[in-house]
Amino acid sequence: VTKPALESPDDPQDLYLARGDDIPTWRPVNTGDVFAGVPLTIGGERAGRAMVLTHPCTMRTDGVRLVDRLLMAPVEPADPLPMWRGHYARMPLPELEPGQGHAADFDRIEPVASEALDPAARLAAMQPVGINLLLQQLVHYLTRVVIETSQFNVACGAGVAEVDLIEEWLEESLDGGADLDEAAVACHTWLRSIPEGSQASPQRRLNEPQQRAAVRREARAQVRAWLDA
Amino acid sequence: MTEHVWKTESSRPTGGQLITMETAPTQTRTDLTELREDFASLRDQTRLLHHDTTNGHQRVRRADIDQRAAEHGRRPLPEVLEDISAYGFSWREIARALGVSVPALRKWRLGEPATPKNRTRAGRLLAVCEYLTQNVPIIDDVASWFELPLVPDPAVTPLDLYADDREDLVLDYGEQQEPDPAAVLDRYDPDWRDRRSNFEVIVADDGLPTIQRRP
Repeated sequence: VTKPALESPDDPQDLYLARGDDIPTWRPVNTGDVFAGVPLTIGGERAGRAMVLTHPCTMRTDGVRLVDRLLMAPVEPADPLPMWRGHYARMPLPELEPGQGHAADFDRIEPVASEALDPAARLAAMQPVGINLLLQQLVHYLTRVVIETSQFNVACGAGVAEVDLIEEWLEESLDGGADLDEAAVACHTWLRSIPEGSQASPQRRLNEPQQRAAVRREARAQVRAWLDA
Repeated sequence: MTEHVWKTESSRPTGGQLITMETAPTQTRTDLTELREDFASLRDQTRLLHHDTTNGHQRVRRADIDQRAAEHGRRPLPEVLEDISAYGFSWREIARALGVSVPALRKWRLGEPATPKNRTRAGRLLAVCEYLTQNVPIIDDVASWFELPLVPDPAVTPLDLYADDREDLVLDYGEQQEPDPAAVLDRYDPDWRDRRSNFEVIVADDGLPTIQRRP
């Protein structure tokens, strides 16, 4: 008896947080992001589309700066619909561009210098459901073990919340006329600090789902205070 | 052998009357039959009363939220969205609750017009948050409550229910009209138990979450 081993989205549109020009350039790089103009080497040197595979928890050395190299998979045009069944070396990317499906190819994963990624050349950023499906596909490709996407959703929840929070902090900072790099450092410094009278940093508190709303409220107050200062 | 006698303050017991059980040397079958019928009648009446009061409460609740939502629907949309955000929701969660994309939400925040339907949805989400905050003392942080799973596995949250157009379940659970999370999930997805995983998320010794097979 055979059955589909892996999950697929109810609606392909559910995969994407935003595509193309709708992605803010200040949004931190995250797992599942697809970039154009990525310097790839396997199969010949070229600049092509590729998807970030590095896990959210391990892609930054100090919370702000990306690690030197990110694991990426080349993304090529393909008919993604049949790939949700049995094509386990591919991550289907339907409607990555209007009217054109693509797929990320796990057979040609390679490390890419993170500094080579151009924020303005980001083609897609994933919703948590897209990241969870990608991780399920990738883990299955590497190990033939099937882990429900619900578990990835729990495991990646804090990382997703942190990326959202940083994006909002940077947006507010840019609206307030601040320098992007300074705002990123200020956000990170606050995320990792342990306030007086508290046991944990805001970053650590994001691990607890019931703490996330409070951390966001505090972050909004903090960025306003930082801008006023 | 000792027999039991149900004694009440009158011959026709009601829920508000004191009912005591005493032992007595004798008891006729006729007495027991009458008592059984009395209690069956009481049970049916209380069931009907419960049904009526639940329906009445839900109608009043709906009217309350409708009224709040209508008022918010007349306000500028960016203000309404800021008020929702002030509870502590992320913009991504708000977009999900409203069934729209994050870029669309960003455009509305910047003043671009939204359809009347989407304005209504935004007003309604704010109304639900206000209602729960003001009427349910145990919910002291409504955005946090929306993010907290009903059961550990599968980790379905009130936000998931709301995004799936089950405002009724969100409110019943929030107001403890249906306090049992399993019963709420039964109404949402009768097969939810089949979605439980053989894996679990733990915190590894590097402080980061890790997925492992359940022991």
